[in-house]
Amino acid sequence: MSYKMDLHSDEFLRMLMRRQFSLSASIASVFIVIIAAVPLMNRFLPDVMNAEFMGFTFTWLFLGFLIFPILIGLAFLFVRRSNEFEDEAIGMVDPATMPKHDDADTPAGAPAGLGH
Amino acid sequence: MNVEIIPLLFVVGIVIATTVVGIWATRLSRTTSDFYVAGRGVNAFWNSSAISGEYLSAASFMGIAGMVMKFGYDVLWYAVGYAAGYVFLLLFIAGPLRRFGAYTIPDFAEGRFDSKNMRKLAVTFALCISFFYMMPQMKGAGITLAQLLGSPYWVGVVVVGVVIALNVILGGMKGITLVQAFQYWVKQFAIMVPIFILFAVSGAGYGANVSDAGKLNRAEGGTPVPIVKEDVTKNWPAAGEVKFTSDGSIVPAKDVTAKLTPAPTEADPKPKATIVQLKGGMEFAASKGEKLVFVQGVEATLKAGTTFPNVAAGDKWLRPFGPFTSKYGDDYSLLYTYSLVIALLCGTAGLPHILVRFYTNPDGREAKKTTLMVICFLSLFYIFPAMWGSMGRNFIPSLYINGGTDLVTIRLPEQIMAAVGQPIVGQILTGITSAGAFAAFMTTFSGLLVSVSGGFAHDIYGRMLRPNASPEARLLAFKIAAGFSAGIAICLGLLVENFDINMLVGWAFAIGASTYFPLLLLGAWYRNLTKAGAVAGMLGGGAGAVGSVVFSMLVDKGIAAAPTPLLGTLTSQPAIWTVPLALGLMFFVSMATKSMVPADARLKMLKLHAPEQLGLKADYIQD
Repeated sequence: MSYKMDLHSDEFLRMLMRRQFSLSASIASVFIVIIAAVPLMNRFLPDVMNAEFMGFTFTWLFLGFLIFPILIGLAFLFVRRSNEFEDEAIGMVDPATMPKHDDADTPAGAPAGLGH
Repeated sequence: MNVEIIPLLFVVGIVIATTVVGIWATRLSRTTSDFYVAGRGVNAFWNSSAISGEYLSAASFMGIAGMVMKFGYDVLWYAVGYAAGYVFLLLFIAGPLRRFGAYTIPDFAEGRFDSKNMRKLAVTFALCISFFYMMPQMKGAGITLAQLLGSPYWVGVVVVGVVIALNVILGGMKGITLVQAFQYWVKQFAIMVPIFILFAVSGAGYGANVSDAGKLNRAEGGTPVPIVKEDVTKNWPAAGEVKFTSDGSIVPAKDVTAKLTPAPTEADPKPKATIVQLKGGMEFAASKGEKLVFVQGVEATLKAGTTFPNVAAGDKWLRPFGPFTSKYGDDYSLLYTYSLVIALLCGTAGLPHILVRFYTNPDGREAKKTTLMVICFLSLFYIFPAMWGSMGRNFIPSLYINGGTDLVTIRLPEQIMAAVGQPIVGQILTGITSAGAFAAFMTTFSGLLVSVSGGFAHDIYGRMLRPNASPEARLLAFKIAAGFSAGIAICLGLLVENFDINMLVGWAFAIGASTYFPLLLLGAWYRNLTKAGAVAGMLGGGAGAVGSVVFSMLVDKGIAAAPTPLLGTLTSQPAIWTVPLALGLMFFVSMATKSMVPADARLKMLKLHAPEQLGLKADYIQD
């Protein structure tokens, strides 16, 4: 990408937040729909949800086991997409607009005191 | 009651191991910031083990299993909600919070709005949530030690309180990080391995146990509730219940007042209770379906030949909208379920002792990776408590007698192994689960204690009272605060012997969900959020949630009059209205006070969202 944005421009901030938020919001909506559907289906489709498999009811099997891999899958998807996007975002910034203080890349484990 | 030597050895072992690891780790922590935040070099695996270790409390280890045993399916929501809350945290909060460089939520509140008053408000809620959350940990410790030692309830509370306070004072958070991580694996092992052994020994797996439990006490074609073979004497707390599952009789040790509710019939599905006076030493005969609620705490003997009381009907237990969510009638069970789920999902993001942990990640990317691993660890853990609950229902109905189901993870191994002639193995397995339970109270309690003491030392002393205090003075303030807070926690713990562990935790979640969650969500994503909006939302949501919780406690104690079913649902599970209220207030008040949007809001938002490589990172805690 040839066009570079100013780090401190409104344009960059809006793009950054919009893309991250739409990713978070779309995964959250899938997640909310799944969670919210379970009580509704329990109420309105009791025959399906209470059908028995291997001693469990279907709804027990879902809340007791199946929902956990779904959570992990959604979380994994989010982390991968979000990191990919961050890499892209870094490439979009004009390096000349980044702050140039020496301590910007202090190693992570560096000792830090409390307060200022 | 006898002292149980083998389980006690396990408990003493875990307490000593905790203390030793804590003291050993102290040698590794030199500076003040090591003491608070464990440096920032803790890698994602250890950090997520530590977060999971800190998070899995008495409510998770004992409470869910006990409540599944008592109420059945509906309680699975607790397991799902406790794990799924981290998904919200991951999607909206973990990365930005870490990037902002705030150590505590009060730091975030102050930094986002450049306001000391925001810090004060945030500290107040942090202390409120933390103390609420400490009470159930204390209760878990008290009842477990009472079982193993035959000691009174208060001994467990005091022992755990003192041991953890010492650990925190001597080791600080660096010690705690290692201890928490180690204890996650202790808990995972203790909830997982014994139950597989019990399944193998009894020949019935999870599915078979759920199926059998679902048939127990069913009106037609089910398995009858077992009969009490010899007289059993138990203590009932005030408001303790006996719901007779067949005709039977009970003998109180002394005179006691009770409320007697007749069996519901088709003509009268909700019969009124009458007050009865029971004479000490005299047999009280009850018929099937009658419910007796003791007004005062009392010791009483259930006579042989009576079936185990308080056992819910199998179909109610197995299916959704059972006794837990239909507490206020079947019409409100859907509302109750949704409100509970909202509290659990949003409340995780509002727990002060968990959020502090994100600071130990080196950057936002690592914070996300850590959260993902936490979701994996917690998912693995939360599959198991329901197995204990359903097995407990079939094998140890004696816990139903006086509301002792919270002890199912402790008692079940002994019961099953004794029945197959392996009492020693049973004692060892009980030792393992007791050690797991202890790990649960110790980690959560120590995390809360660090968070509360940090609140006093870092936020109140270090930033409000004496901003120029030396690091040594702050460290001393932290240690004094830890001792003082542990004292308060012990006192509070002594008051809650009769409250349900999970209920207390659920309330702490509801308060967090109505205060911190909206602040963090909108603080991170809504650029035009103003201080007035944030204050209005936190106060409105917080007042709604705290007011509801206090009201529910008063109703529970019989001080306030029982509300209508709708009001009862909305006060005992307030999140469904307090969370939207807080979010709405924040949004609309911010709109109305647009001129107050901080001039540097854009830079703040950039710091929250820009990857560290862009060089904007500025940690709140600096050299």
